[in-house]
Amino acid sequence: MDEKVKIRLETDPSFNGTEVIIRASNRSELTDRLVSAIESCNHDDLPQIPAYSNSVLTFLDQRQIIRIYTENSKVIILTENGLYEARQSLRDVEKLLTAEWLVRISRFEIVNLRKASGFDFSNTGTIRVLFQDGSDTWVARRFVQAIQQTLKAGAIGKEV
Amino acid sequence: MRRKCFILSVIGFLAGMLIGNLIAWLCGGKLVNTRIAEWCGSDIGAIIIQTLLSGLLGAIAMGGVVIHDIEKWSLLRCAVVHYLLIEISYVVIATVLGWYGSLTELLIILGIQLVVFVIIWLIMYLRWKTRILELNELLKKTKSKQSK
Repeated sequence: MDEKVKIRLETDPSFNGTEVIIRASNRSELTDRLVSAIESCNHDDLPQIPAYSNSVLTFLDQRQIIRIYTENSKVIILTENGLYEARQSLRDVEKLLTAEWLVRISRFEIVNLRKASGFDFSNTGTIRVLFQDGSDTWVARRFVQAIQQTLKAGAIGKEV
Repeated sequence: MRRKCFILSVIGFLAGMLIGNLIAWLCGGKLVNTRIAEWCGSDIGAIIIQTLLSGLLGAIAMGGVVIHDIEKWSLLRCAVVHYLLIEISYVVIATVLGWYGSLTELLIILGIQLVVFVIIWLIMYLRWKTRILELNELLKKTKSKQSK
């Protein structure tokens, strides 16, 4: 981890576009982190979310996120590729989210409406959001209006 | 939530004081409950006890509204807990203040209150059900736009 990265900027007026090449003896955790960081810069309109999987830092694309929730005082991010842990509070993670289709559904959870397949209202009066992968979670009644407004604004259809 | 509970309890206390004395006056034809007056030996004492207990019932009923803000609880659970909180407080306070003449009378009052609660719950349930149906329609519409 103490490895220092040499950075060299080459400008060439005849070159069209921008290219980044990472040169290393082999692929390592450092090279993966560099790739993620560069990807994050490339998508600065939709910043990537830093999260850990087995103590390895990864930058998550907001499009991949299904749910972000608190469990045993930890903030868990469920994506299409698996579970990650954010080392920030849910509120701080929420501040990083720019996608309008990532909405709060309770004090403990944020979900991706693009991954939702529908809503269910049980006989006892519990609201649940159902996801395309078959999972589901409960929705606090006070957040229903905000979800409705997001859907009315057509935010989940907007490409970011 | 605590702040809301406090504000509602104060409003409930004031309303309870007013309604309790009004009911005592309408039912007995006078402001002082004779049973309480005999027990504490003075009319003023009886009015104070009646006013405070009526206010307490109002505070519990109104303050208990915050139960419906508990996010994790279903609509039914919130309603049942709120109903039980009110009814238990009502039975205790009504017994002390002599608001009912017999057990049958008390059961009728509790039955009427239960019917009112069930009606309120049904209205709330149907409103939420309609809202969730609308939410599903909206989601379907937005998704179909997205796929085009």
